[in-house]
Amino acid sequence: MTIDEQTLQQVVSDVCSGMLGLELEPSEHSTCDETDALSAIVKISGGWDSLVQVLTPRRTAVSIASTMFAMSEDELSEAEIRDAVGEIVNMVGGNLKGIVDGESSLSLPCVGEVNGSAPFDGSFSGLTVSNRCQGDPLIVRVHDRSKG
Amino acid sequence: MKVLVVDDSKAMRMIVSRTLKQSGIPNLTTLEAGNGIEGLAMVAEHKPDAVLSDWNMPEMKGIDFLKKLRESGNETLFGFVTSECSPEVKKEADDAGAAFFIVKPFTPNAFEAALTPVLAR
Repeated sequence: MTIDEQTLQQVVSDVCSGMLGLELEPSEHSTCDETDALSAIVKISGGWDSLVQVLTPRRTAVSIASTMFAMSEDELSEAEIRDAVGEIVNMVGGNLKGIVDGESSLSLPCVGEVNGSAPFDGSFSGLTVSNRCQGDPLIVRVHDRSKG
Repeated sequence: MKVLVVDDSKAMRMIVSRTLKQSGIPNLTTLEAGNGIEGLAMVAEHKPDAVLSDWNMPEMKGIDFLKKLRESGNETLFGFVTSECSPEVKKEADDAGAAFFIVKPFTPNAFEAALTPVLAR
């Protein structure tokens, strides 16, 4: 089975709304036009070579971490904020990997600060699902590396 | 019942521990470790009734943690709580002696169902 936009949205909803209790609203935004955003990426290698990215403004990441840790936003450390976003991409990537055919391995999440849509530039041609989480963009992208 | 939760994500350890409490398991105590190496030390020291481990962790992966545990003769009930859900991964877990496999995202019911055999002993 291959991944389409509907499947990706379902996985994102299951993870964010079903398990974490975050309210998501589908959005038309395909980029995160923020200078202070966090990007979390997992690499899937093997039968399905791909990158999965979660991109969100820092303030949304803080809010998500606050929900996940059941702590107030000002109590959170930077490591906890990154851990929360990393765990979302880990769950999304792991679920996608289980859907596609063939044996693949999942990397540990890599979380960093980005400016706007990095590391995928304007020519990105993979799958994107855009949601609003607590009013701000929460974008998930899948880049199938076998397709260039 | 004493359950050791092993996951490199502190957020996920908290969520798993919280969900365990919501599942209604009586007399529950949870312990936490950040990887398989810490998990082995915690099992030796605290002798939990069950271990719930992530699959993909730095230092020592969950499957290697389980294999080390079994090699040492320890037969503590061991299950995976992971976003890894491919048939190959499940088979590897089964072959190594995992008792159950809970896929993230999960519900409290999944934990209750997985741990019921322990409660029945």
